Amino acid sequence: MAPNFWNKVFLIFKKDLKDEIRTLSHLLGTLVFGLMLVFTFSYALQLADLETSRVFSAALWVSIYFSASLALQRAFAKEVESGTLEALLMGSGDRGVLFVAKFLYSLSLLLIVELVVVPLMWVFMGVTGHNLHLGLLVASLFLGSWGLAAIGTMLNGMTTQLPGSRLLFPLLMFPLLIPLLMGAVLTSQGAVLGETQSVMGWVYLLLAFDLIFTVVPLLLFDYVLEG
Amino acid sequence: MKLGRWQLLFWTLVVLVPSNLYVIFYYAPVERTMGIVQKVFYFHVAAAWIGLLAFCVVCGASIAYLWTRSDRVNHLALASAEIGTVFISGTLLTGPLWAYPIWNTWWTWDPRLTTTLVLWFMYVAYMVLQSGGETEARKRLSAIYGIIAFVNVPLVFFSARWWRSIHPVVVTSEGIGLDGKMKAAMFVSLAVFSVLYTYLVPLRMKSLALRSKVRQLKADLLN
Amino acid sequence: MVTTDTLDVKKLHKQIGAKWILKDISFETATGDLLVITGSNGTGKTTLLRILAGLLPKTGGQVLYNGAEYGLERGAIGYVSHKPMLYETLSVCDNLRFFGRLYGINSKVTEEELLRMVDLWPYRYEPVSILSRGMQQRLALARVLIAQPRMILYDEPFTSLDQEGQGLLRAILEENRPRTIQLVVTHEPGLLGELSYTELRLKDGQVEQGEFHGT
Repeated sequence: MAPNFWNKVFLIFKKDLKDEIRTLSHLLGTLVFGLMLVFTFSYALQLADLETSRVFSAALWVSIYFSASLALQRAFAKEVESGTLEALLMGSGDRGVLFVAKFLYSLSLLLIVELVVVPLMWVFMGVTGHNLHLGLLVASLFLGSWGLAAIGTMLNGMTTQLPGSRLLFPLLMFPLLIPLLMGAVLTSQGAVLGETQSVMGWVYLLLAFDLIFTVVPLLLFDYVLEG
Repeated sequence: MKLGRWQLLFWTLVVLVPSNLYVIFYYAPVERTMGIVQKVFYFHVAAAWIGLLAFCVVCGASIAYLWTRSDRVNHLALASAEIGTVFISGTLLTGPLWAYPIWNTWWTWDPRLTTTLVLWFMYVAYMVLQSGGETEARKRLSAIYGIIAFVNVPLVFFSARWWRSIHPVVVTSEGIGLDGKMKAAMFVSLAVFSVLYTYLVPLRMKSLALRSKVRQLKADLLN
Repeated sequence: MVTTDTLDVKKLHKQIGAKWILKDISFETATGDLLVITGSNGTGKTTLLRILAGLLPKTGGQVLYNGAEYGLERGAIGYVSHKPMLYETLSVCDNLRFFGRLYGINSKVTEEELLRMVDLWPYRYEPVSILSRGMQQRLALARVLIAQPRMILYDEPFTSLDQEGQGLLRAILEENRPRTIQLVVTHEPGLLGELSYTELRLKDGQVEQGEFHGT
């Protein structure tokens, strides 16, 4: 019985997780880097004597963005390093399978990093979340990470084919992420301040962004991994 | 004849550019409150228009490249991006020149300014991607980036607009009521800049084609 | 009943930039035959295999499988590269199982048979990173065989195999002959030993000579 699209996605995803757990070095490295950013921001901003609940979200997303530019550089790069990309290409048949599997892997990495970074940032910055809307905060983190992972996966698939990919990757990623980061910062801020109504528009923008940058890469991925 | 067309365009520009200057500085009246500084507006808007037009051309040529794999189309996309960057840079530089005396600030996070800046970032990223050897992968991946960057433009614009509506800024660029002559001068500028663009792009394409020819000859020599 | 598949390559061209890598390559092969592609370095042997595997687009010509252009889906093509293409952190068993399942093969029996055949059964729980190059290459063979491909492309498969491994590879080539189209790229056709095969010699991207060896 030939495996279908989702069987293959799940297989590759599971393989990547297993590989990640075996080594842990990449995940741990990214986590530590994220923690260093959290420390830097909390410490520096404390001097500025700002209202922390208003700065929290911006500092958080800058940290997530930088951690992501590390975390998202693995998905395809590790296949290229081990020379397995071609074996995967031949085995998976459909390149969409590869995109979706690698996207899920990248998204999981990001979410794991956030699971540690967000609470610590909250504590270090001493945010008083009297009006915190936890559901919206989680939603903003999830939607923001989704878009980051989608664009990161696409661009990682592209840049690993070129020399100098480590520099190219963040350079190409940053301008594409600007609308996403705006939306994520404001939605998270709305959640922290409990101003849920005024940020609903941004939630829709995040949804639209995620949808567009999941569908467009899927359509173009045959061209990304040609041959 | 090819050369004839080139020369025609060139001489047209030799006539058009000074007339454009004349229209801007003598035909259009000096703005009552802003004074002579307002003249920069005609360059500013026309350059922004070319920046946006060039971006559309990059996207169109990128789609065409994935379809045809023709080097000419790739050169069109690259030439358009390079020239677009020059004009967008012009927009970003002339903007503050006008903004400082009028708004009393060099920069503001107006949606148009933000979008223009992001556009500039994407142009630069695109050119970095294209630079460093004309391999098949590089051309193909640049085309893909050209397309996704274009898809991103409306998202950037809308988010920048909403961002501002939440954090209102004191000064806006709204309400520059233009009188008839000023409007005419603006359209003349738009037209002249467009002609300039259509002259520069094929010129740059020619030099890009020569560059890749030289590269190929060198490679052949070494083989 | 054993079906006979045919691979028919007609006037295949490949150009990269201004450079012709392959020019006017035509040949035929079928199950039962063993096509050995020889030639010195840089003559386009690997490029040819990669085009047949669908990993590289061709510039011109036809690749007909049973008369249909690229009529063989990718999953039915096995590709043994000179790189082993394995996950170093995962165990021997995990590697084989992953690739098997990707092709819809989910049988512990098959896995065991293959691992015993390539002599890696005792090492099945070891990570690939500690295996020697020769062992990795043997696992790479198992990785390809588990998918039961209808065409196998071998790119310098003898590299890094010891005497024993080379004997094993010859046995595999012979065993697959009746059901699989097999193409072997090598610059040492002597290593094929007693096997009968058709040789296709490439020079500067063109077919220099085609001849039959063996009985």
